[in-house]
Amino acid sequence: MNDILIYGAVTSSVYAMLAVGFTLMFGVARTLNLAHGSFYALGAYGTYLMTTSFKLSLTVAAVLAVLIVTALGVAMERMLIRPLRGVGLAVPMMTLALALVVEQVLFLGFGSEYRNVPSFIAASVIVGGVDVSGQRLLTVAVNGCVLACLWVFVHRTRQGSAILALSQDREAAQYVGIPVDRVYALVMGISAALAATAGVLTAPFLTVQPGMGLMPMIKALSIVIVGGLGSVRGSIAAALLLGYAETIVAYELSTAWTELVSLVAVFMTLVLRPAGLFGIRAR
Amino acid sequence: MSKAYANLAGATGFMAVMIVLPLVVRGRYFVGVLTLGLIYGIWAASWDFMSGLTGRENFGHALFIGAGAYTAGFLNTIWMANPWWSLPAAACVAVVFSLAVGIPTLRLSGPYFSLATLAAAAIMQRLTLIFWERTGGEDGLQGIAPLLKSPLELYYLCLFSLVAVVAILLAISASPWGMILRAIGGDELACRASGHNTTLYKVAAFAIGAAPAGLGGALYAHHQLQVGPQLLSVFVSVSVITMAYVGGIGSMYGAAIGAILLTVLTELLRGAGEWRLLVYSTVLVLMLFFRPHGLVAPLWQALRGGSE
Amino acid sequence: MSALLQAIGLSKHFGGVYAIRNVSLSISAGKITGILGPNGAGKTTLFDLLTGFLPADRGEVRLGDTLLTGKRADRIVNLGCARTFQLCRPFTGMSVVQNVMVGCLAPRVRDLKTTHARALHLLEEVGLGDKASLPAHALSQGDLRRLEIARALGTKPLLLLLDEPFSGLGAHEAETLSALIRQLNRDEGITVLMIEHRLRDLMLLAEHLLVMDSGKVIADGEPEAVMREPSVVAAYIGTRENGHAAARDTEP
Repeated sequence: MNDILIYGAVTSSVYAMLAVGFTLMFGVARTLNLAHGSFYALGAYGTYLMTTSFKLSLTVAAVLAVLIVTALGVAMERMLIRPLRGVGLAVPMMTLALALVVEQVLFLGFGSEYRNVPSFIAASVIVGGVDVSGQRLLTVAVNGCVLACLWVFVHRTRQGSAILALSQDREAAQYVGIPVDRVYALVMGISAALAATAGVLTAPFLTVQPGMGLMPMIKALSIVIVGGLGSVRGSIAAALLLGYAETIVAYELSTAWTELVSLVAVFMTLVLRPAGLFGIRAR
Repeated sequence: MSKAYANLAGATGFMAVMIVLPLVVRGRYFVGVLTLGLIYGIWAASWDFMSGLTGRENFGHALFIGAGAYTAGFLNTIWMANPWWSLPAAACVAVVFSLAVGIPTLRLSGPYFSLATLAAAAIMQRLTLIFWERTGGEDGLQGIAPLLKSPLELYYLCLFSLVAVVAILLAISASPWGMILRAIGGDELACRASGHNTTLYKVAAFAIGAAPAGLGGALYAHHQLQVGPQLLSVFVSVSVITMAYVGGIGSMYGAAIGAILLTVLTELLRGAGEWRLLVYSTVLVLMLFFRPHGLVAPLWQALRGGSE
Repeated sequence: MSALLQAIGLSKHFGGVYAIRNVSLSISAGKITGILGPNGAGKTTLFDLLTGFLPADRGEVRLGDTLLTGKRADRIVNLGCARTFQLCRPFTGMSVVQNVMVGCLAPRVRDLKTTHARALHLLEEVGLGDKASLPAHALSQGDLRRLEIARALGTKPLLLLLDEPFSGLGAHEAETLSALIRQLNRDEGITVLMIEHRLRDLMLLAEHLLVMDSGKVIADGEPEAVMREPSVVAAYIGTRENGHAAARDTEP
């Protein structure tokens, strides 16, 4: 029971980081960033590269990786996405193509073998009678902190209010003088940072290979749909729901069936309540 | 020369070239490459039909391709069926998948359809790996029987299939139903306001596009004699989309020709080896930026004199 | 006078804010009825409710005896109730005549043999006959308005709902449009319900006037009488675009 509680928390926190970033991009910037998984992968690979090739300490490498990926995300938004806004569905297509480019670059640069990223905390800890790796606990802690900070940022700062305003009514926000382009860049930066952080934290205990970004992103999509497209609250709620559901299924049935959990959840959402848990419109 | 005659001349010219080509440039390898190009042509044209006309982007065409290919694989290796059964069976299975994905999502506005198609193909790929005991996992299904004795015969079968598929899709596109599909692509709300049940049309178009994709998957299975989870990958979906973009969205014949050209070109780039996939993705990025209307169809329309 | 369209107790809210609150109305067949109201009064939302583009939270809408609420928008069109949009929505990538043909292909009136001919005829009727093969995006605002109307007419509607058809039109275009609407109403017996901001254009056409404010109908009746009601005058005080016009038009 306790191990489900703890491992479920680890999974949920990672899913939440990915889902919140994706839903922010869609809710605020109306952008389907299908390269979202790439940020996750680049965070992990960035850490790997900097610890092995540049011999930086783990913490420094991790922070640098997140910063670089964030910068890449903002650059991508500025140079490749912004010019295509309003041109039909070129943006999702472009991001999808970019995701493939990133995967291929990683493959050509690092090969297809799984890479090893050392843990931040090598030791195991006993929590509630369960032997958990320090890395996993760190993951939950950091993810939780980051999301809390994000909440504070969005609800207590001026830039945060701009983000909220833009997500509610784009035209009105423009009339009030909110710099739309800059907010979009900010949101993209946040989205990339969240995903990269998740990648950095989970790299030590999950597989690091060029295609590692795809399934996490599909997972993020599923969670965002179940929670409600554009709703941060919904993403977190759905991340908890699905994270725990998967952990329970993994323990009671088998790991093979966990993939079907999100599939069933998405299907049920689309058929019964397309708006999702906290979504606004049903159609 | 009127537009219709020009089109007929172009089509005949294309057919003549494609019929003669493998006889002139001999060699099993080359025929194999051309056959693959034709199969990609079926996939690209069938993607273009739904997504090109209605503007609802399908990011998971690989789902139908893989479904068709694995259907052929299962029928042939596990149930020892005659290979010819694969073709209709694959098409039917693909249609079933299209209904499963399309019916819940196409009635909703928003990105649900696009996201669901992407997710469906990826999840299906994951499932083939998870249930590796049944599907052969990474290696997939091997030892599939060929459809026809010689590669040349298979080539002509694929050519015939491609021409038939493109002809049928073009006929639908030129019909009143095609006009309504284009109207959905132009402005779906206004199309509803004109009295049409747009969801029904979209689902129908999706299913009509899925069938040839499945068929192509079966042809692929009996050509390569093996199928694997790579057929369900995002890469396959994006390749198909790239070919349609190069060909000119909404033209269908453009997608087919784009597919043949790109397949042949990438084979010529064989020396680049692992860089091939990178080249593909970069081509799409460039196309989106500089030539969103494509190359093949606009070129043909310019040659013919006047736009559609 | 028979009621062609009836709405009883329609309500619609968005997240706690009522856009339409308990609206009831009755549109007589064969008349031109106008809906007036300041921005945000809920006029377009009302149209969306009547035509099935938005589901109502409460209330019902009937076309004759047939219940419209709960039906899909395209079903309602096929029952004889067509609409245009405030911001013109042509089918991009298609020609002018093709745009109208899509309307002519509605199941209600579909006849594949005559579709093209009917479309051309409708274009002639609205004055776009010579622009039939042009791409839709090449048309001016006024022409796009007429294209929308032609497309809606393709469905052979009993009731035509026009959403601010005069907005953005110059004096000459407005006159032509006015004449067209009058002709459609008188010669073809099409009942017209139109939202309009431009008071003068509306007063010249409407035989029956509804005034809305903050999601409610505050006046309903003969145009001259309605414009004199205190609640209506109050609703327009301070509105630059309509205040002066109201004062002018209510003078004897």
